[in-house]
Amino acid sequence: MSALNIENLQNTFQNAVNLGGSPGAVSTSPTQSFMNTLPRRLSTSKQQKILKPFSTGDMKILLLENVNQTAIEIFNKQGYQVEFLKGSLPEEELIEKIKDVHAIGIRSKTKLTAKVLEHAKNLVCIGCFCIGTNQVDLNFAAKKGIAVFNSPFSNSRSVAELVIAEIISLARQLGDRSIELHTGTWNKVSNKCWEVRGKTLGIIGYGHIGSQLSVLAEAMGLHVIYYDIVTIMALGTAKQVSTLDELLNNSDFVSLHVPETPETKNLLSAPQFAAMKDGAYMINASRGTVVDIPSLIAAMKAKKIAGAAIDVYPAEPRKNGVGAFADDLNKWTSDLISLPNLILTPHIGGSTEEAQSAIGIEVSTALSNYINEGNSVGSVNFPEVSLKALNYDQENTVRVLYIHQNIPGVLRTVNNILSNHNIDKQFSDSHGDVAYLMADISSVDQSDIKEIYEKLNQTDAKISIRLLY
Amino acid sequence: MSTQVQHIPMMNHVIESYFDEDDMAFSPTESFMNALPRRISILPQESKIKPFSKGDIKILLLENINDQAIVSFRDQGYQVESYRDTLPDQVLTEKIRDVHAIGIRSKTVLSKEVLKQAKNLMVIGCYCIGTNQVDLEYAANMGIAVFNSPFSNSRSVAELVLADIISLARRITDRSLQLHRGEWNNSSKHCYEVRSKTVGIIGYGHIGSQLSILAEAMGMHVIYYDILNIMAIGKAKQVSTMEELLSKADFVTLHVPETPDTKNLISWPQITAMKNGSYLINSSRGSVVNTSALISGLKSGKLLGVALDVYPNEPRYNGEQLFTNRLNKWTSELISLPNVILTPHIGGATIESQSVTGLEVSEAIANFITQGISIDAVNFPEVSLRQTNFADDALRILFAHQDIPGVLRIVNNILATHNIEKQYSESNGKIAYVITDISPVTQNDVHSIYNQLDKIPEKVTVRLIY
Repeated sequence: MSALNIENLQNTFQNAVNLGGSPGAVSTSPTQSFMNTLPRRLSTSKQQKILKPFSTGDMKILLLENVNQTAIEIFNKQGYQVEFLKGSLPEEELIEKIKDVHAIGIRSKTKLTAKVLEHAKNLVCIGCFCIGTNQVDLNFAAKKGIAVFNSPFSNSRSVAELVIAEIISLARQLGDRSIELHTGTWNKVSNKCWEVRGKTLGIIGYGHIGSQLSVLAEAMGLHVIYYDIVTIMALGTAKQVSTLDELLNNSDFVSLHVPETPETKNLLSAPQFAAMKDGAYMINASRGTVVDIPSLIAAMKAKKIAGAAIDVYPAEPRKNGVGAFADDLNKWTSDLISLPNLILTPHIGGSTEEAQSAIGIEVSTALSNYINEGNSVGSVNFPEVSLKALNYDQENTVRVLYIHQNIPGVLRTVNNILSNHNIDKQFSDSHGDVAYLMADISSVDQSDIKEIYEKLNQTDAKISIRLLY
Repeated sequence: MSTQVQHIPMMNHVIESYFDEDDMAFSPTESFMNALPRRISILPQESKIKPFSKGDIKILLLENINDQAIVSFRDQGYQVESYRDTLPDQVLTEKIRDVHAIGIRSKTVLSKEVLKQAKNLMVIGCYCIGTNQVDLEYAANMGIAVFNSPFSNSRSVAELVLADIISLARRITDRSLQLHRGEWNNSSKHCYEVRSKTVGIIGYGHIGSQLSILAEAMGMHVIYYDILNIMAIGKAKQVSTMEELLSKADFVTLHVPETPDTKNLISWPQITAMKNGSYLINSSRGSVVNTSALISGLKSGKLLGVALDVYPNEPRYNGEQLFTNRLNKWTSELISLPNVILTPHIGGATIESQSVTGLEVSEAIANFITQGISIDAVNFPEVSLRQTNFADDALRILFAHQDIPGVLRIVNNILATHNIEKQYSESNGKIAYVITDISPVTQNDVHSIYNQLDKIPEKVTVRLIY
C-alpha cells in the first residue's frame, strides 16, 4: 500500500472495512499531532495505522473539575465527543451522566465508588488528572475491566517550588508581616526570623516530589535528611535516616510527601510534634489525613512549633467559593486560623499552568492510547500491557483486547478461538484478580471480526472485550 | 533587660511583637554556627595598647541593635546604653553630647545639627548597609569615622527575594489570606512554576550577585544590568541596557543604592517597557520606584504582582496605624490590589544577619577606639597599623588633619626626638589620617606631644593611646 494522504484516511477506512450494520462508523480523525505525541518507541518507520474500535459508537468522554484545556484539545483531535464541566458532580447526577460515557476524566474531588461505577456500563477507562487515585474504587474498577490512569509526577516540580517558598516564608514570617502591613501595622523585627542557609530539612517520603524538593533545598544551601519506608538512593548529599523520630529530632523544617494510606493516617500527631525540635516548622502538602490538626494547633499554641504551612485538609470544599472553609467543614477551623505564622493554601501544590498542562497532556494521551490501541502501560489498577502499533502494511490485522478473570485455562480457550488466524503477537499480564490479553491477529476478513467478537463474548472468564482494526 | 512585649491585635489573635530581648530563639543549629564567617575574631588582648581610660568610654546603641553588640562591648569594659527604638531629635542631641561612640540603624538621622553637639564622638557605627542617614562629610570633617556592614545582610535579602518570586508566581499571600477568611480558591490560572523563567537583576553588587546564584540554583535564567561591567557568576548574562533587561525579564528585581541617579529609576516608561504579565520586586530603597507608575501597571494587568520591602516614607517606629495615606498618599490604593506582597523593610531582618552585622560593626568600632584602625570606614581614609607587643612605654598617636601639604612634616618634626617605630598615613581627598607608633615615651612626653599636636592649625582630631 502506498503512503496515504491523511486527509483521505477516513474514506479509506470506510472503503476498507465496511461492515454495514455495524453500529456507527467512528469518525476518528487522526492527525499529525496525535502521531507526534505517541512515544517514539511505538512508532515504526512505516506509517502507523489508526485503529478504530468495533461495536462502539462515537467515543464519549466526560471531563469534570475543570481539567486543563490541553486534554480537551487532544480528545477533540481524536474525534471524541467531549463534555466538559468545571466542578464535580453530586452522586446522583454523576450516576446519570456516567451511564453512557466511555471515558471519564476527574481530579481529586469526584468520588467514583463501586455504587457509581456499577452504573457505568460503557466505561472503558478513567483518567485521574492529578496524582491521587484514592477517590476511585480501584479494585472494583479493575474487576469491571476499567483501567485507571493518573499523572504520577507532572506536578512534582510545582509542589517542590511551593514548599521552598513556604520554607523561606515561614522562616521570615512573611505572611504575617504582609497582612500586618496591609492593615497599616509596621512591625519590623528580626527576632525569630532566620536565614534558611545551613538549616536542616527533613523530608518524610522520598518519592517523586520528595526527591525534587531534596534537590532544590540542597541548591538553596539547606542540609537534607529524609525518612522513607523503603531504602532509596539519595540525590546529592541528602541522607536517609532510619527512623521517623531521628528525622524529627534533627530537622528545623519537616515536610511530608507521603501518599494517603492507612499507615500514613495521623502520621504526625502529638508524640511526633513532641519529638520535633523546639521552634521547628511543619509543612504538609501531601494529604489532609496525614497530620492530626488539633495536635498541631496545640503544639503551635505552646510555641513548640514556630510556624506551619498547610495545603491539604481532612475535609476540603468540593468547589471554590466564599465561606466554603469553615468550622462546619473542619471543626477546628476557627482555632487554626487564629494562630500566627500559619500559611494556608487551598490544595494548590499542583496548581500551575505548567503542571496542569503537563497533566492534561499526559493523562489524556494515556487514555487515548488505551482507547485507540489498548496500551495500558501506566495504569494504576490494571495489568500493564502494550504491543507495538500496527502499521498500514498490516491489512486485515485485528487487535484483540481481552480482559478476563485471572483463572487457569483462559489463554488456551482464547487461542483456540483465534486458531484459524495467524497470531502475529500476543502479550498478556495479570494484576491480582484481573488479567489482560492483547493479541494482533492477521488474515482476518471482515466477516471474521464479528464472529471472533461473539465467540470471545461468550467465554466465561470474560470481563470485557474490545476489538480494534 | 526586662521583657517588653507589645500586643498587636490582629485577626482575632494577639501576637507578641518580638521586642523581647531576653528571649533568644531556639532554632539555630550547629550547622548555623558553622555558617558564621571565621574571620570575626575576638579582640586579642596581648598588646598593651589601650585608650586613655577604657572604662570611661561611653557607647550609645539605638534601634534595638543585636544583643551580640551589647555583650561584646560590655565584655570589653565599655559603658553601654541601649535603646529599642530611635530617639526623638531633642533627646538624641542631649545624649550624643557625651558619648564616644554611637550605633544606629536606618531610622536615626545624624545630621549636621546633631553632630555639631557631639563633642566627644569618635566613631559612628551603622548596624545596617545604608549610611545615607548620616552626614558623612560633616562627620569626616569632625574626625568622626563612620562604619557600616556592607554585606552581612546579602544572603538574607536574597532569600527573601527568592521567596517573593515564588510567592508572586503562585499568588500564595492572596490565597492564604482568602483561606484564613474562609474562601477556597484553588484556581491555577496565572499561577506558574518559576523553573526556566527569567530574572532580571538591576544592580549586580553583593546582594544582586547572591540572588543571581540562588535564582540559577532554582533553575531560572538570570540576566542583569549594572552601570559597571561586572563578572557574571554562573551562567548569568549582563545586558547592556536597562530597556533590554526590562523587555526580557519575567521578574525584575532592584538591588541598587540610593543615589540621585537611582531616584525613580523605575517609572512610567520602565513599567511600559516590561513584559506583559511580569512582576516587580523592590527591596533596595523606596526612592527607586515611582509607586504611582507601579500601581498603574498593576491595575492595567501589565504587572501580575509586586513585592515591596521599602517605601519612600517609612515609619520610624513599629506600631499600628502607621503605614497609611498620611505617610504615603497612595497607600490605600496599593493595598487594594491583588498579589501585592508588602513587608516592613525586613530584607536584612534575620538573627543571622543581625548577629553578623552586630559583630562586624562592633569590632570595627572597638578597633577604631582601641587601635585607631579605620579599615572599611565609609567616610574616612582607611589606615591600619599592625599591633606589636609593646613595652609599657609605647605610644600610639592618631592624628586626623586637613589634607594639605606640609602637615606630615610638622608632625614628624614634633616627634623628631622620639623613636618612630612605624607610621602609616592615608588621605581621601579632604581628610588625611596618620597613625604613628613611638617608643619609648615618658608621661611628660605624652602630654607635651599632645599639646603640640593639638595646636597644629590643620588638626581635625588628635588621640593618644597608651
